[in-house]
Formats: sequence, C-alpha cells, structure tokens
Amino acid sequence: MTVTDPYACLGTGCEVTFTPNLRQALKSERNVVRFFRNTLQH
Amino acid sequence: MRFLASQCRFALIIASLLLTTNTFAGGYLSNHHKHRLSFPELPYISYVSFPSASGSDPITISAQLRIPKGYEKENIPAVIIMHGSAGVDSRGSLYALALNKAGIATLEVDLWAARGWVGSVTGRPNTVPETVPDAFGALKFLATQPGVNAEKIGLMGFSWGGVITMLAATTPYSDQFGEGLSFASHMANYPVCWAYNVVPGYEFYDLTGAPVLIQSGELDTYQIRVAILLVLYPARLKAYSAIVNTVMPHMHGIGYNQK
Repeated sequence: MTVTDPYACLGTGCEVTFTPNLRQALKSERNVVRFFRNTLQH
Repeated sequence: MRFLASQCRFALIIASLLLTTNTFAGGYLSNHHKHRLSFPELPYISYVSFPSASGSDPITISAQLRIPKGYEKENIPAVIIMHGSAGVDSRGSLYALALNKAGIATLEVDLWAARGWVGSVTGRPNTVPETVPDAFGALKFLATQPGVNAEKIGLMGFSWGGVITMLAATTPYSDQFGEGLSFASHMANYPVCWAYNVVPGYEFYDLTGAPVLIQSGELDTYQIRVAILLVLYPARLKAYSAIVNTVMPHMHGIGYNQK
C-alpha cells in the first residue's frame, strides 16, 4: 500500500510504501512479548 | 418412457445424497477422532471508555480491554496499545493476542473515534502531543481496574502511537498528565525518529527512567535519525542505558507488522 504522508522523508513529505512482512512481524511480536515480560513481570 | 426417466432421476438423486452424507459423516468422524480440535482460550473482552487526561473539558476515549483468562484473581501487568495514523487495525491485535497469552492484560485505545474520524492520513490532529493526554487517561483508567497492577503498566504504539509512546517517556509530559502515575516501560514501533529534538514539542530527553524499546525498519525514511538521536543526546538521557534500538534489517517502509 502506498500513501503520501507529510511526516515522511524527514518531514518534507513523500510517498511511503507499506511493506507487510510476516517473518519480521512475528520476530517483532516475540521481541515485544520478551521486552514486556522482562520489564513488567519480574 | 417418461415415467422410467423420472424414476431413474429420482434413484440417482437418492444415491448421490446417500453417497454425499456418508462421505461427509465418515470424513468428519475420522477427522474428529484423528485430530481433536483445540481453540486457544480467548481472554475476557470488554469495550470501555474513560476521559482523556487533557484538563478541564476532556474528551471521552473508547478502548478494547482484554483480561487473559485464568488470571482473574491475580494482580497482573497490563500494556496500553496506541494505533498509527490509519486507526485501529490488525497490528494491535497481533500484539494483544501474544501479550494476553503471556498473562498480560491489554487496552487497545481508539484515538480517532472520539474525534469523529474513522482513520486516514488526512484529517488527523496537527500534532502528536495533542493526543498524549489520551495515553495518560488510559493509564489512570487501567490503574483503577481490579486485578491490574497499577505499577506495572506499559505503553506501546505504532507510528503515531509510537511517537506518543516516546513522548510519554519524558518527565515533562509524565508530570503534566500523569498526576503521580507513570508508565513502567515503553515500546515504540517506527516512531518517526527524525522529529525528536528538532520539532518543538517533540523533545526526547529528561526521561522518566522507564525502559524504552524502539523497533524500526533499516531502510525506513522516517527513522533515519534514530541512531543520531541516541548518539547526540546520551548525556541528557537519564535512562540512556535502558534504551534498546532494534532495527529490522532490509525493511523499507513502516508497517512491516501490518497485515
């Protein structure tokens, strides 16, 4: 998905492409759960 | 002749019906015996509302509260989830499900509904700081919920919500809107890193000391200053050692975790 966002390209605004990636999403999910387990459940 | 044809058609229909039913039932039964279906236990889900911490005339924010089953009598930690510019989408539920499974309650906030938007790039507030009080409103709400540990409430967000997450980690915002409460940890996904200490209102120093995790894409044009931010301001970051920056390699845009 491509959108034009004024916040992109260091605030000058440009087209931004959203690139879903299941592998990275699952990696991120694991990171997040580990982070909150460590910081909230100790 | 016509009678014979209709008899044959009738016999064919009966035969095919019997065949279908048998196959279906047999298949179902054999599958049922082979693989017992198991569904993950869903958390208790409720839709709640609370006032933003924005002062004398606060707007009412709505959110989805999820309390994992089996933890009802415990004092469990919780995480508040803030969406990106597009509003509530699949990203929030991706993390909510995983956090619930880990025994952590979640509160996924809808920033746009209270402002009359359904979520789009155009029409959102001019600046992120306008929406920071909503995160502290959510914190106050969760802190009063039975079964939630008020001292162990984290904050996470994506893009716009990631910026809220970063700003809520600073003492000026925490003191102004927290009224004695602050977040125990912060997790920001691609939080537009070029803007900090450049745009007024986006100062990222004088931190509360709570751990901060930043995740961004390596080739993302919003996040290019993330390394510079951490190198330029170490002396002013009270919790510098608590900041972890995870870069997703070779990822171009934001939203790598969007379905």
